[in-house]
Amino acid sequence: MIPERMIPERESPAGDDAARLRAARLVRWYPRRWRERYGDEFTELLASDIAEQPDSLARTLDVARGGLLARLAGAGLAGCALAGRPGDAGELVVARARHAAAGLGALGAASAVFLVVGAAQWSQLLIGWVWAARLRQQQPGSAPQLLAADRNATFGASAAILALLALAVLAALPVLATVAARLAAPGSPGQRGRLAWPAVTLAAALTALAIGARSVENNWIGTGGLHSPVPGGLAAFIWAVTLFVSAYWAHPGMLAAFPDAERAWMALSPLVLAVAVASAVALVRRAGLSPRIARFEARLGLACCVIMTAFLALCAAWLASAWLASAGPLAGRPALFHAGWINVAGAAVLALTLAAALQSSRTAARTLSRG
Amino acid sequence: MAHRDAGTSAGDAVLAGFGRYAGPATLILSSLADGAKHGYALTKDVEEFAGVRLAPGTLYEALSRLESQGMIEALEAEDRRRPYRLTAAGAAALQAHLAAQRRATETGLRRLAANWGSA
Repeated sequence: MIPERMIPERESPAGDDAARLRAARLVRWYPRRWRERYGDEFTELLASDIAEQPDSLARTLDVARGGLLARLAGAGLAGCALAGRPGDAGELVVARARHAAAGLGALGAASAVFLVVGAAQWSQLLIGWVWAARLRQQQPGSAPQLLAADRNATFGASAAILALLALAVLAALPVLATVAARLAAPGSPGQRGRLAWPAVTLAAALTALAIGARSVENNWIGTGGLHSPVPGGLAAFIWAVTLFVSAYWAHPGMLAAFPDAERAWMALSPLVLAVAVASAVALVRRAGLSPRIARFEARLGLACCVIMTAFLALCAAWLASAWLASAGPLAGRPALFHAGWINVAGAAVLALTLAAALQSSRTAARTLSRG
Repeated sequence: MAHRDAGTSAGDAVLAGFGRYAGPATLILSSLADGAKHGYALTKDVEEFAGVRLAPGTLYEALSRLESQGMIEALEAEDRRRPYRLTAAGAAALQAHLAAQRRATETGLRRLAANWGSA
C-alpha cells in the first residue's frame, strides 16, 4: 500500500494534459524498445515532475542523457539487458542474449573500422620501408635515414595487422557456420529472410571489394614484395582497399590527376566497406549464437583489443618520434616516412574505435557472465 | 567468519558494479526495503529519508539495471504507475553493501574521535 502523500496531486485537466504532452515529448529521447517497456510509467512520473517543477533544464538534460545511454545500451555499447515484461523470466534470458549479441556486433564493427584505418596507416609505413630498402640497395648514399620508431612501427604494425586478420577469420567462422545451420534448418520464411538478406549483402560487398581492389592494385614496388615483411600480393590488396583513407581529399588538384577508375574506387570503396560491416553486424545480432560461441567470440574480442592497443601505441610512438625528429610539427622527415595530419586524424580514429571496442567487449563479457 | 566476509564482499561487489549508479541503486533498494513503491513514491521517499531528489532519468536508469539483475521486480501497473518490490537477491545485495559502508563509516568516526577529538 503506497502512502497517500506519495501519490501525486492532480492538476486541472488542462494542466495535466499539457504536462503529459511535454512528458511524452521528452520520452522520445529513449529508443522504441525501452519505451515499450517503461514508456507509460516513465511518462507518468515525468508528468508529475513537470506539474511540480514546470521549468527544469536539469530534468531535460537528465532525460536526454538517460535516453542516449539507453540508445548506447541498445547498440551494445553500455548498460545491461532490458528487462522483459514483468514476471516473464524467459524474456529476460532472451533480452540478455540479444544484448550480448549487440555488444559482440558493436565490437566487430569497431574492430573492422580500426582494421581499415590501421591498415591504411600500416600501408604507408610498408611503402616507406620497401622503398627505403630498395634505395639503400641501389643508391646507398641517398637512402633516407630511418628511425628506430620507423622500424618498430613497420614490423610491429605488420605483425598486428596479420594477427587482426587471423582473428577476424577465426571470429567469422563460427558465426557463418551458425548462420548456415539456421538457414538450413526448418523455419518461417520471415526468420530466414532476416538472416538471408544480410548474408547476401555481405557476400555481394565482399565480392565487390575483392574485384574492385584487385582491379586498382598496381603491384608497384612500394606495395610489397621484395624486402616486405608481408607477402606483396596481400600488401597490394590492402593498399587498394584502404586507398580512400587519404590526404588527397584535401588537395582536389592533385586528386584530379589520378586515373578515373582509381578516383571512382576511392569514392565507392568506403560505401562497399560500410555495407560489408553493417551486414556482418546484422548477422552477428540475428544469428542467435549459442552461449558457448558467444563466449568464444568475446574472448577473441578481448585478444583483438590487446592487439589494437599495441598497434595504437606503436603508431603513437612513430608519430611522436616523427614530430621530435622534424624541424616543425610533423614536417621535415624524409618523404617516405613523412607523418602528416592525416596520420594524426587516423590515430584519433584508432583511439576512438579502440575505446568503443573495449566498451562493447566489456558490455558483452558482463552480459554473458550473467547467463 | 572468513566465509561470511567473503559472501559479504561478493554481495557488495554487485552494487559496486553499478558504477555511478551505485548511489541511486542503494537509495532505491533502501526505499523498497520498506515496501513496494512506484516511481513517484520512490522519489518522494528517497527525498524524505536521504534529502536527495532523484531525477527521473537517473531513477529509471537505476531501476532498469536493478530489474535486469533481478534485485527488484515489477508488479502489476496501477493507473499507469508500476510499483516495484525488492527481491531476496536485492535484499542480500543491499545488506552486504550497507554493512560494508557501515564498517567504513565506523572506522572513519573512530579515527576522527582518536585523532581529532570529535565524532
